[in-house]
Amino acid sequence: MSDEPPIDHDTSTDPTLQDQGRANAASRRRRTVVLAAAAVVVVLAAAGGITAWARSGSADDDRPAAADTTLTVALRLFPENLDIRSTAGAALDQTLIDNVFQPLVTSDPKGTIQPSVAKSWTVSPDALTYTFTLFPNARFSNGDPLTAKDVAWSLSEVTAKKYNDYQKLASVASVTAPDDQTVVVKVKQPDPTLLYNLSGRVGLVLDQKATNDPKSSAVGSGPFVVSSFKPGATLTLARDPSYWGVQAQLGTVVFKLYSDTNAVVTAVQGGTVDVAGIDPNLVAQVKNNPDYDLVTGFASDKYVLAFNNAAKPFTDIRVRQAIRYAIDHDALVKAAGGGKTLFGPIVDSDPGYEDLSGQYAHDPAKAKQLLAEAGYPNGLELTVELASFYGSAITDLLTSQLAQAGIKLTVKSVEFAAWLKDVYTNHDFQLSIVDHAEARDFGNWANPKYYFGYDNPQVQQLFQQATTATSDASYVSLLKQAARIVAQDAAADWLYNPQLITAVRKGVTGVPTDSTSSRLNLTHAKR
Amino acid sequence: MARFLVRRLALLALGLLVASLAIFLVLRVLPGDVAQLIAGTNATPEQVAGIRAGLGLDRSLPGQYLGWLGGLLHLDLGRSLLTNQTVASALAERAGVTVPLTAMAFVIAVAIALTLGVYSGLRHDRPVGVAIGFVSQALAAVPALWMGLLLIVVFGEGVGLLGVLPGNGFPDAGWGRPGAAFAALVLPAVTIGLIEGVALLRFVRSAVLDALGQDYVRAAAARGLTRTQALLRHGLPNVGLSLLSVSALQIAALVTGAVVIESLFNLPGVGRMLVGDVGNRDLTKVQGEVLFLTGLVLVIGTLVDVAHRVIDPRQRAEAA
Amino acid sequence: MSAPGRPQWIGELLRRPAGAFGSAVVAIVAAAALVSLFWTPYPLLQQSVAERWQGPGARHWLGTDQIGRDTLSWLLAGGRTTVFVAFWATLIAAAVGLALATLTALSPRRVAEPVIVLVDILIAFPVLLIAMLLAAGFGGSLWVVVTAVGVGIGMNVARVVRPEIRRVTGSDYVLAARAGGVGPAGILARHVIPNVAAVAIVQLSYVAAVAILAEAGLSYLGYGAPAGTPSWGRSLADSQQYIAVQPASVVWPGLAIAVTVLAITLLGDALREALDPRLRRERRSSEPRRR
Repeated sequence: MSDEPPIDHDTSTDPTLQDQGRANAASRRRRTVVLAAAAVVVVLAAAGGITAWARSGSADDDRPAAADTTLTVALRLFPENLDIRSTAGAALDQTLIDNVFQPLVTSDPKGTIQPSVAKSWTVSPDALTYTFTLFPNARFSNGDPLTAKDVAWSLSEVTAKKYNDYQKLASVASVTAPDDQTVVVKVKQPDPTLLYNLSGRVGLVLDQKATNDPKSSAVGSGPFVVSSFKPGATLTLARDPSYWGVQAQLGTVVFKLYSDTNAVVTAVQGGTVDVAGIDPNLVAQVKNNPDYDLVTGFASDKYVLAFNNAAKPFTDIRVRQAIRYAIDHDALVKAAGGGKTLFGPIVDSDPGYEDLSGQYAHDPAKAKQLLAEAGYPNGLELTVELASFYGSAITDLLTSQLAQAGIKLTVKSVEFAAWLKDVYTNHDFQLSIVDHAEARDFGNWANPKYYFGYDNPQVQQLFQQATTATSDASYVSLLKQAARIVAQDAAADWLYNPQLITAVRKGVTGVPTDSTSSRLNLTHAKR
Repeated sequence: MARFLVRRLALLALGLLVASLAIFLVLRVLPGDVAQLIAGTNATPEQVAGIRAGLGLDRSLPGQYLGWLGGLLHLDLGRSLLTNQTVASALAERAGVTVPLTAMAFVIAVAIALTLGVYSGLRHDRPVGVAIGFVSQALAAVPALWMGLLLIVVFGEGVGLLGVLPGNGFPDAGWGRPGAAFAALVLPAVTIGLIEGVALLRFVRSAVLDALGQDYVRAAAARGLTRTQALLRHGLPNVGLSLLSVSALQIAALVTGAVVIESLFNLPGVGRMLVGDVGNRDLTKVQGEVLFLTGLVLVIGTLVDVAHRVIDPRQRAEAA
Repeated sequence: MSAPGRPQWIGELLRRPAGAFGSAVVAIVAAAALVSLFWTPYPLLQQSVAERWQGPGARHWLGTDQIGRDTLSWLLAGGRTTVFVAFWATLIAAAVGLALATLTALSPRRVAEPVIVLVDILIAFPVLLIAMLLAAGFGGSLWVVVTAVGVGIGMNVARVVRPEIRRVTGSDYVLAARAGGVGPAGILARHVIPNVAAVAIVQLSYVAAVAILAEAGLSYLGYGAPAGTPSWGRSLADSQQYIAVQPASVVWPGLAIAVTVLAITLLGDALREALDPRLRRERRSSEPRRR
């Protein structure tokens, strides 16, 4: 195929060149062959050389002398900035809590409360006063000592400045620092969730005297410091050699953002990451890799199809119910490659869980009928807005499933920051899909100002009673009641609880593999 | 020559000015309140107002534009709305991937275009020449994304059939590990270089065909040189010149190719940063990034034009 | 000099292998897009997760995607987006390019000169960057793609068509016609349009190719076709995540794009030769395409 017409001035029509051409034809042909052969050899040799160099480079150079102390962790979600108090997003909790910033107390993956900057604590018999004793030698990475004053300041700021999740400290009446090592937290009424809440964002202790820019740098009291933050690429932590507690084993931790789940698998196969969450659909690709162990952990993640309960048409329970009936949860789990169905707001590893699978079994005909009763006999058009990193399979599937019930779904896939603005902050949405990664987050259903817009006084009252319950048993049973109402009320649809599979390089130990999407404490990790 | 240089530089300055104005106008008609976006969740109106003042969003639009231009003059592109990092430092850091990637892709493109273009021009009437012509046209139609995927499937480390080159990511230490950094750029550069190379190839081939018809090549051939020798000795400068002028236009394609390919290969370059920032509506960064990339294209275009002018005897003669 | 006879150039076009192949593929894509509005082998929204990632087979000729939808059905329907993008980008490029070319060719120097400089500046702006800029301001969509391509490549059209208009309007026969009392509209209809059409059509045929490639790239980056839209670019992006599980799923949309773009460029080349033999020599090395 030629893209130009043959030119006129050609050997075939040019007598002078034609003669020359004939005379030289044989030698020319021979020379061409030799030249071509030589060219092929040179190109191949060059390619081989470059490849060898590249291979040695990528294999050895990436594992420098300090290889045994560097851990590279693949992330699919990345912090927008380092300002953990003002910026939402589980990636901040995952990378920074326990590692860089420390809460007053901490919790292990099972939800058990453990010491952090507080060495010990006591609760008064009326459950209204918590007294924490801090480690006397605790200090921040800038050298400032960590005192009770910093704790009191940090906790009060959360409520005063309405930082993320500030509602979790709603029960707190006062925080005082009678001396440098003692913090006294008084609550308005008993709150069994307080310690757990203090082990998260709202309990983080920051340096009152620090003057750094919180978006691009971090001053915390943890075993690691942020040594470099390249937004959208890498977050590098370095061991703080002057850490006040037991030193971290790793010298460096690199959190690296990957654009999609396939890229993560490619990175594992190429050996460039040490710890990576694997898409269950792609497990087969990694299974036979002798360099990695695949660990399945439990996840508190709940993929929620959120309804804007405060806005039409979701103010009509029949519309909400119709959507729940229209969804085939088994298919969703299968498409995700693994995981469990989820029919209520509480995941089975959290207190208050109950099997609610009897409710809203897949029934498109019933969904259609409910829609007709609600005044939409010809169906309904809805838009779902979600962050783009969730991929397309889940929305493609929902589009098909809802179509069977007569609901035409339009998908609006945006970056996380845009989602935060539209959905989370402005409540300007109809449907959204969110992985609520955090454990024990039922309180969102009792908070009418949350983006769910779910305002049910009965649920709020039950939750209030639960959080002030004096025994764990009554706490659990009240929570259960509240969760059942939320589920029956179809306040959202709980799509599924994903399977959490982590590829961990052989020889690496101490890396948590449970609930890693909201917390990844690497203090004890080593290789 | 001096007049030409002044004119060309004035055009470059004007180009940058037009670019900055266009960028500013498009981003200021953006729907939504930037300050509210940065303030994020649960911000009080006072906080939002504070951010607005801090970013100068409360100034008039011309005031904001002139402020941005003024900053540009001493390389102050402002700060990221989301991370507070200076845009200039983010660009400097990411340019360390994008500029070498583009340069490597360019070298590969020119190498492909010159060797195969000259060869297929000389053999345009033989099956091999026709085949090269067809394959190059077919490759030019392949989406860069697809080409990259195919290369990963064949050569990508860990996933590919041959698995010899990294198909994902960039070493964390960057150019501190030159071997690994270079290796990480090979497949992406080949992807872009191959597609741009075959586009250039067609022009080289045309130039060769033209040169073959020129009197001086035919005269040289008449003096006893083979057609190939005649072309290589006398025609090549002209082929090179036409390649030079065409490659100026291909620079744009190289730079934009980097946007898609950096995302596919997970490379921390300016292009991938731009993709993320567009989604995050980090306006000051998008402004800086688009201006940087457009500026890169305009500056290289100017350099190529000037080089062309300096080298080309005909143009020099005209100017004299 | 007059317009090439219609039947003559069509015959000329189809006689060339490039022209015949190009026309055939373009016709097939357009037909597939049209047919898919009424019929596809399986309904587009029919899915079955149990049957996902099947390879080509008797039930699903090209296999199924990540949620068990029929790949062939989505491929046919994806032609709609391709036709949409190609059509609108070409229309916008034609409107922008011809308007600017006419303006700069016919208006007085002090009006034309600044516009020419502006065209020279804008021609260097990469299409994809224009698209990203628009996406930052207005959110990504197919309209962003066609606007960016149309305006960006419209500059190339303007630059190539302008000298052609100048040549025709300055030619002896136009001057003669004008002297003979033919008005501007008559001159435009009888002389300018037929003569400029050849050059313009060839330039515009490349716009479609650029637009289809741009759509693929931007859809991959998330700023092109919205989620759920049948589009080859989007299918390519969606299936690349699971390329390791079902490599074939990446082949079809990529192949569809490559073959269509190749067909359009071949058609453009063949048009160039068929429409005006004079162009054969003059425009052998026309403007390179930009992406």
